Amino acid sequence: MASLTETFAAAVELLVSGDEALWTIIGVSFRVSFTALLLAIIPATLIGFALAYWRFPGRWLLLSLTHTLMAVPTVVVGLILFMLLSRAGPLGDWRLLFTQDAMIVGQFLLCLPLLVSMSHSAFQGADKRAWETAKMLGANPLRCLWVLMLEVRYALYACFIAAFARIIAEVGCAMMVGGNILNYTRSITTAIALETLKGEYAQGVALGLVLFILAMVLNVGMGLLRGKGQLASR
Amino acid sequence: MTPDSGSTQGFLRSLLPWIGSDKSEKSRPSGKLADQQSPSDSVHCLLSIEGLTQSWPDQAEALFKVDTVSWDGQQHIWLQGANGSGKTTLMRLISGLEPVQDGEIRCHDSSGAGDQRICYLHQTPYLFAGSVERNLNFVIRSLKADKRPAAREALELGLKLAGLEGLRYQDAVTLSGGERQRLALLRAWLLQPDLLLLDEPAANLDDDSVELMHRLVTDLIDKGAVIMVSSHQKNLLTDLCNTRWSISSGTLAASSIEG
Repeated sequence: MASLTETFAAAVELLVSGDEALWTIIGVSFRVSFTALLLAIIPATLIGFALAYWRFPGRWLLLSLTHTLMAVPTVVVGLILFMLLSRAGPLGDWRLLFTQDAMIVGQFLLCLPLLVSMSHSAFQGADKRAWETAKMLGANPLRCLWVLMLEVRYALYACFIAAFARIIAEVGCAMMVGGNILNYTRSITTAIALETLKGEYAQGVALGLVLFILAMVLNVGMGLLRGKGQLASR
Repeated sequence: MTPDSGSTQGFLRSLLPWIGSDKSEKSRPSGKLADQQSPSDSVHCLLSIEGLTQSWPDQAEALFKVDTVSWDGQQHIWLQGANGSGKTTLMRLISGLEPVQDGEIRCHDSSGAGDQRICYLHQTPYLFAGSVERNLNFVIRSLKADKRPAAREALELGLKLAGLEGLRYQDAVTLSGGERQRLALLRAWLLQPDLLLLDEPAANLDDDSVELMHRLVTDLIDKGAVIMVSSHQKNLLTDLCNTRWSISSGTLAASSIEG
C-alpha cells in the first residue's frame, strides 16, 4: 500500500488531469441527485406549506410520519425499492432496477421527508402578514405563496442544501437499486466503496475530495446568503 | 401560520375562491366576493353581519357578539372599543382573514360583477422586500390587465399624495414608521378598494403623516370607497367618519356621529 501522501497526490493528479472514468462517475452522481432534488422540491414545498397553514385531521400524524421517515436508513429505502422493482416484485414490469431512474426514485424518496419537514418549519416561522398582505392586495393564491416563500427564502435554501447533501452523500440506496454499473449507475459513493475494497485508494480519495469540496462550497454559499439575511426590522 | 380555528372547507374557499361558491351557504368574505343581489334601498347596503359570535380557541366565553348590523355605501365607520375588545378580530373577519365561527357576514355587491374588494391594513404594516416602487408594482401586477395602465399613471400622483416621491427607489426596510404606514396605505390606494379597513392607522404617527394619510383616504372616499377606522384617539381620519361602531362588554352597538 502506497503511503498516504502518495495516494493523496495521485488523487489530485486524477482530478486535475480530467480522468474520464472519474469524471463520468461524478457526472452520474450529480445528474441523479440534481434530478431527484428538482423533482422533489415542488411537491415537498407545497406539502410543507399545507402542513404549516392548514389544520386538518391527521396533520399531526403526517408530521410525525415525516420526522420518522427522515431517520430511515438509506439501505432500508433501497431494500424496499429493490423488492418493489425486482423482476418478481409488483413493479418488476417497469424494468427500472439497476438504472439511473431507479436511483433517482430512491433519492427522491430519501429527500422528500427532509424537504417536507424543513420547509414546514420554515413556513411555520414565517410572518403571517406576508401572506395576508399579498391576499389583501389582490394577489392570487400562487402569488401569495410566492411572497411567503420569499419571506422564508433563507430557511428554504438551507432546506434544499441539506436535502441535496443527504442524497449526494448516500450510498445504501444507490448501491442497492443502482447496482454500481460502470459508466452507468456508478456514483461517487458507490465507487468509493468499491475502489477501497479493491485497494485502489487513489480514485476513492479523489472522489472523497470532490464530496469534501462540494460540502465546503455549499457551506460557504449558505454562509454568504445568511450574511445578507440579517434580522429584518419590521 | 395556522389559522386560529376554522374548517378545512373555509380555508379552501379562501385559498381558492373559484371553487364551491354555493350561494345557499354562509357567505364568508374574502378578497373577492361572491355577488349577492342588492336590496332595492336607495342607499345601497354593502355588508351585513348577523348573529356573529366569535371567541378565542379553547375559551368558552365569547369575545364579542353582533346581533344585526349593516354597513351601507354612505357610512364611514369609526370602530371603537377598549384594548382586547376584538376590534382587530372584527376587521379581520370582515376582510376574510379569519374564518367566521358562528353567524354570518354577508357582502352585497352593487355592480354584481363580483369584484367588490375589501382591503384590510395591518396595524403594523408588512412591506415586501425591495424598494418602495417594487412594493407598489406588486399591487399593479395584481390588478386586471385593463386596469394596469391607469394604475401606472396614478403611481406618480400617489407618491406625491403620500409624500413618498423622494423615496421611490429606497429600500422599504429602511423606511421610518410613518413612511411605512403611508406606503402601506398607498398600496391600498392603488388597489382602489370598495371597503378600506384601517387598523389603528394613526397610532404613533406625527401630525404630518396623519395629514398625508388623510389626503389619500379622502381621495379614496371621493372615488366611492367607504372606510372603517379603528382608533382610540380622535384624529383627522376618524373625523372622516359619520358612524360609530363601538364594542363594549362583548356587544357591538352602532350609532351615528353628530356634527
